[in-house]
Order: sequence, then C-alpha cells, then structure tokens
Amino acid sequence: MNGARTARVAVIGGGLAAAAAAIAFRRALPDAKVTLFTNDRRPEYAGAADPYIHDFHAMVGIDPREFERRTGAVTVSEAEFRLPGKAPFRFVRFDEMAYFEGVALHQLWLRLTERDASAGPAWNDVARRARRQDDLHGGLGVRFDAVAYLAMLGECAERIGVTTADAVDAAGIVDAFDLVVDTESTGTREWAGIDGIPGGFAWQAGPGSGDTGSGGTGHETIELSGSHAVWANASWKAEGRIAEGAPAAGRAVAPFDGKLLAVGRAALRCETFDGRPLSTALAGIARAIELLPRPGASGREAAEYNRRMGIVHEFLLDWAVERSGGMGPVSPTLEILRAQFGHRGRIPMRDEDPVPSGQWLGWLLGCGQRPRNIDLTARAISDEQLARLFAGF
Amino acid sequence: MSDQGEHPAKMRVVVVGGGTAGWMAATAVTRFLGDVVDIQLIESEAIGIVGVGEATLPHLRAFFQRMGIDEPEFMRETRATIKLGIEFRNFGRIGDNYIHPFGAYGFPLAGVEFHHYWLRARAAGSTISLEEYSVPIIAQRQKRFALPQSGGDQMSDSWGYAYQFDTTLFGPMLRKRGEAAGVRRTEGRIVDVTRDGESGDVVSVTMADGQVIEGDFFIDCSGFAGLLIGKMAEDNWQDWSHWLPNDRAAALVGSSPEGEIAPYTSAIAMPHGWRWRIPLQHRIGHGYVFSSAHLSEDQACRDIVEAIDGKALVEPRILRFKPGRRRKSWIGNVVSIGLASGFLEPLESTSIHLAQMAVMQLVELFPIGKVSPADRDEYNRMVDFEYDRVRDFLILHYNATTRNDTPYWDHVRTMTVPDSLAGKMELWRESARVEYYGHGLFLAPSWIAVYLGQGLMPKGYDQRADLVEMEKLTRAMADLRGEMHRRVATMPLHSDYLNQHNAWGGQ
Repeated sequence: MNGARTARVAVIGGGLAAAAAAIAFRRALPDAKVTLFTNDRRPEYAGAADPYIHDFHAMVGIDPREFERRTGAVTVSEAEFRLPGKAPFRFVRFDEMAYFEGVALHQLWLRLTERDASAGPAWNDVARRARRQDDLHGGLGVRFDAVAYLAMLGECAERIGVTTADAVDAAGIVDAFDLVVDTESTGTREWAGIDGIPGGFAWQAGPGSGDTGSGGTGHETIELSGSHAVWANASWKAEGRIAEGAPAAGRAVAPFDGKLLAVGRAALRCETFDGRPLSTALAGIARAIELLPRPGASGREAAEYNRRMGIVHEFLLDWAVERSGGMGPVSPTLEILRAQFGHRGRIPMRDEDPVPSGQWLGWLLGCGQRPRNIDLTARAISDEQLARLFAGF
Repeated sequence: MSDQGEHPAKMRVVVVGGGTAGWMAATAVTRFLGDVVDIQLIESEAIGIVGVGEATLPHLRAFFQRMGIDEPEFMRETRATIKLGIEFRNFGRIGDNYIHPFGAYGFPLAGVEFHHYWLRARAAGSTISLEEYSVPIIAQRQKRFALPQSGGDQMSDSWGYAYQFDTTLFGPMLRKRGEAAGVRRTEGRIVDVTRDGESGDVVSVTMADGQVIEGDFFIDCSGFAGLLIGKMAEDNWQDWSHWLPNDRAAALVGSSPEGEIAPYTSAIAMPHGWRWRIPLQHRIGHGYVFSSAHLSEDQACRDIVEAIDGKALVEPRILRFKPGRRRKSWIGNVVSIGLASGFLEPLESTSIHLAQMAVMQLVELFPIGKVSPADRDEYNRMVDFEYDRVRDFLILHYNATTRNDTPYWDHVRTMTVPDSLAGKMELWRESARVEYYGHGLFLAPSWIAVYLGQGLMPKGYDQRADLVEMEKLTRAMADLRGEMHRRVATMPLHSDYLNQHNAWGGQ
C-alpha cells in the first residue's frame, strides 16, 4: 500500500484564492509544511461569492460571525440588470425547481399568464414566494469587503502555521514540493479560450448603499456597457474596467498536471457578476483536497479532478456568456439549454453545473423570455386548481 | 404561437404492449397528461410477460408516490416483500459472499468517506468486515426491517428499501388503475404497421382481426420484438454481448422454504453465469442467467432445478435476449420503452428502473403538438447515459473476479472492458476513490460494495484518514458498529413487519 503523505505544499499568489488554498491545505494536512509565496497582496475578485463560500468556511473552520463582522458581508437575493440594448430587469433568487402536483411551478405560471400577462402575478413575485425562507445564508450569495476578507484570510493563515515567502515562478519550485498550487498564472498550460467575452474586470470598490433590505437580505444592481461595468450593493459600489489586451474568458484544459495544480484565475477566467468565479475557485480547492493523490501516485486522481472541474468550468462559462447579455460564442451545451428552454421552458439536466437549474430558469424568465410552448403536464391541472394555487401569490 | 396551435386537439397515443413497461407508460402518461392525450393500449393475452424484473430498486418508491399508489395495497396485491439490497455469492471467488446494500457504509468524518478509515484500519491489521458498518446489511443478515426515519440522527435514515414482487400480478394491478383513469385497452395481436411514405412516421397498426388503429404518437413496449421501433431504422442496435455474454435465462418458480423471508435478492454465481433467488410472500422466483456459448438450454434447465432450495412448482422456461440497447430509443413518432429499448440482465434489478426512468423522461419531454428534434435528442441522450452507466456497473461484477474455474469465468475475467469502466477501476485501484456523478442510478456506495465485495483492493486510500490516532479510530469504529447492531436488534422480523403494516397478502 502506498503510504507516502504530502509533506510540502507551495501556494503561489497574493489574492483570495491563494490565501484560501493555503488555509485549506494546512487544515487538511496538519502535518504538512504549507508555504504561501506572495508579494503583491490584492484581491483578484470583486467581494462576492455564491452561497458555497459558507460551506468552504465550515470546512476550514472560519467562523461565519467573524466573516460577517470583519468584512461587512451581506446576503443578496435579488439583482437588477442593465444590459446594453435591453430593458432593465430583475433577477430573483429561485434556487430549486418547485413542483405542484408533480408539475413544475413555472409551467403552471406560464399557463396562467399564457394569454394575458396580467392574469397572474409577475414571475418575480412567484419566485420570491417560492424560495426557501429558512436559509438566511443562501440567496444569490454574499457581498463583502474583499480587502478586509483578504486580510482576515491572511491572519488566519498565519495563525494556523502557514509560512510566507517571496513570490516565485511555479515551474521553478516544483522539485522542492510535493504539490504546487498556482492561483495566478495561466503559464504554459493548454487553455480553452472564449473570444468575445472578457476574462474578468479590474474592480475599484467604494462604499455601498448599506441597504440590506428586510430580513437581512438585499438587492444589487449590475450595469454593463461595453468594457465598463458598475456593480452596486449594500456592501460596496464598484466600477470595473477591462484592461486593454486583457485575456478573454477561458479555462485550463488540464488544471491538475503532475504536481502542479491551477486554481482560481490560473484555471478559469470569466465574470458572472454573482461571485461564482471565486466560489468555483474555493470549490476547486476543496475538490483537490478530496482527490489529493499521494506523492508518486499514477495521476488518475488528477485526471478525475480535471474531468469534474472541466465540466464545472465549461458550465460556468455558459453562465458567463448568458450573463454578459449574450455576447460571445454559444457552446453546444448552452445551445441545448437555450433550445430546451425556448421550446418548452425546460432546463435540461446538467451534471455538475455550479448554477442550479432553478437559477437558470429564474434568469431566463427574469429576462422576460418565454418559451414557445407550455409543458403539457401543466395543461392537465384544472383551472380551479390553478386559480387556487396562485391566489396565494 | 405555440407548436400546438390555438386549439390543440387531443393527441392520440397508442401504447403497443401491455407488460410492466406498457402499463407503467400508459398509467403515467394518463396520470400526468390525461386531459390532453387520448391513450389506447394494445396487448395480447396470448403473448406472455417476460417477468424477469421482479426485484426492484428504491427509486420505484418515488414512482409510486408520484402515481399515488398506496404501498401496503401494492404489496398485498403483488405479494411483495421488502428488499434491502442484493446478496452476491461466489462472484469474486468461490466461497465469497457480500451484500450490495441500499445505503452507505458508516458516515464521513472530517470530509473523508468512511471506507477510507476502514481501509486504514485494515492496513493496521483489523479483520472486521466493512459490512459491519452498514445498517441495511446487518438488518439483512438478521432478516429484519424497519422503515427509515427522517428527522432523527443520521443513522435513523441511513438505508433505503425496495420491493420484490410478482410481476404477473403487477401488470394487472397497473391495468386496473390505468383503465380506471381512462386508458382504453384493445386485446389482440398486431400484424402490420403502416408508415407515412414521406416522413416515415408510423400512421397506424393493423390488428389480426383487421381492425386499424391510428395514432399520432406510438410508445413501443412490445418487448424484444420491438414491433414498431424495429421498423424505424436499420442498424439501430448497439450490441454489448462481447462484454455481457449471457443471452439466456432459465426461469421458474419454487415453493418457499420454512423460515423467515429474506429481505433481499440473491445473485449466486454459477459455472456459466449466475442465478437469481427472489423471495416473495407466497413463493420464490428463480432463474439461471447463462451464456448459450458455454451452456446448453437443456443443461441450464437441469442445473437450475437442482440448484434451488424448495420445490420447483413449474418446469423452467427459457428466455432469450440480446444484451445491448437501441442506438436511438426514440425515432420519428415512435419511442421504445422497456425491453423494446434495450436489455441488461437483471443482475442488479435494473429492468423496471430503466423502464421507469424512460417513462418519466417521456412525460417530461412529451411532444407538444408535433415531435421536436430537440426533445427527441434530449430523451435519447438521457436514456443512453442511464443504460451506459448501468452497463459499466454490471460488467464490473464479471471483470472484478479471480475466478478461472470455467472458460466462461476465464473469459469475463480477462476481457477488455469499456474505456469508461477501465478509468473508474483505475481510479479505485489507485486510492479507493469512486468516479463521481450527480445523476444516474448507481452512486458511490454501490460501487464501493462491489469493488470491495469482489476483492478489488485499492493500493491506497485518502491520506487524510491517517490523521486520526489509531486508538481513537478503533474505539470510534467499535462504538459505531455496536450502535448499529443495537438499532437493528430493535427492528421487527421481516414477516412481522409485513403483518404490522397491513402489507401481507396471504398465502
């Protein structure tokens, strides 16, 4: 039996993904020496994450109250989008598909409003009512002060014994470590780019509105115009610009290669305006720990990591294309999704999609799109049942 | 404007075949689409039901819930028993015995799955079986059962359950419900199929008495015959016999021996295949699944009669099949479900599940007005991956063996497996990890059961399992084992459970 253990881990980068990776590996492998190679400490993401960040915090032992206190984190449940050439619209959290008598709720709503939009409540009112009220940490995610979060992670890393050193080139230190986690450079690894949508924005954040809405949840606005974006919520208001010559969106084809593991912006570049790129980086760290090979292993675990994260990254790029207002090429998987929704309002099963099917649905309906047809199952419900169901909305 | 037009007429749906798949399809379509479709089912009482799918998987309970089928009533009507898993004998090597349970082993600790800790303890010298850390396995060994309880601690609902029932009673039960809900049944045999010269769609079927039945959409549940789907395309069969060489079954029913009813199905390896044992309330179903390239039908019949416990109540009946699936289960306006769509031997009781999955996919993608290529492609995609994943899981049972006592076992032991399975086995061998997928039938606990049950020991395990002190780990595992045994001891015996829950249908 291969009993070798990972004893030396290098993490390269000065952003949130690097600090999070150093903490996570130190927690998972308390006997290992974890070294964070960094010079320029700066968050590489806007202060936003989807609800997965809470799971990650639980995994590495970060107190949620400290996170909220230190970073001013607020939960958002609704977002108003202003996209070029489109009327402003509101996207309301709708995580899980809801059913009534075995029929999808949105299909029943589509039937109710088929001929007359005023015959029933607005979709967003249905989504607000249907979402789970007991999950205060859910919503569309959290928005927080990214600089404060980075400082908090840095202190945590130091407290638990992560050592720091000056930044180095990943390839140059491979021999000295069992695992090298690169969070910054796309390096020479094979890259699948998507021309037409940006790989990310450089955000300049100022104070937010402070309005967290009722029940501790809030809303945000996102305005896109060409290479400029404004994203505002209770925690901050940020202006983002795409730097000239900045790389387009894309993903590493094989983020785990030998001893080298690419996470964060070294593995995936895109902007979805909901914090998913950071959350996906955190999920990538957790998955790497879950599949961590012992030194000298065959590489089969890395292949499984690449298979799974490849799917996650592809689907997140679909979401980025959709959220950018439809810019960029449409992948075959996004084409299937759009075709299924357009034809009958269905979201196809997408194993490993980091975006829940309900959010795809909420987004498309929130945008004002309607499928050409209503699912026949919705027609099997009586008018009386339908009226009774929506009377409460 | 929708594809249905302004005033859609009811779609005329014709179900061809009235076995389990046919009546499942007819009742489900009626249940969910009854107001917008007109359903006619054609079946011939002269054509028997194959009925190898008496043992089921826990997913069937969800189907019953959606269909509004009452569990005790169903169990009484079909003489059903509870099934907590499948016992495999002699698969890894002669004398082996393991259970594939409907439930996980132990519980994860610090994000690490339990079997990694078990492997560590084993490497340190422990000889305690992994089965000692599974409530459903301990319950099966003691022939006990209790319903899992939600809302308690994690051990309270750490198992699922399915049923073992009499297929010859299941079809009629569904028929009664289907007809009450509006399915029109036509008795008779189909002798001809008429297709549209331009589109190729099926327009009508002609019965032996000359009656012509027209339809807009046809669901082919005609079994291996594939009366309609077989006419829709040439070369539409993907043959898997090079991986799954069994192509015959000798089936019979036997008397129930004395003693408590086993809450599990048994799969017992034989020299040229394997045999099933499915205990029902009133009898036992038996069958020898074998490869005709290695064993004659006559010999198989003699072997199964000799092998069973209890008395054979009928002569063995030979069933012939081809392992594989349609390349496309839905072509034009014909969708095939059940054996007309594909066949995988019942080693893991998947027959009814595959029909159930297909029926629910069809309901979800049922044509709106006219058939949409997008719906059809999506349906075929979903059906294909379910079949392919089950196929890999079945092949594992044969390939993960050390048996070489007959040419049959030597062949399956040494054959080349699909790449998709080879990758999964490599990952397991390396470090006891199971290839992950969120959707699909058999998830990690099932793969772990077969890998370890058949002696496929990994080279390593998750290194995080080394972080717990061995003494603490040993104590925690002993506590867990003890608690599981204590809980199982409070469960009623299987037959007592059936009586207490009004599920006993009598002798």
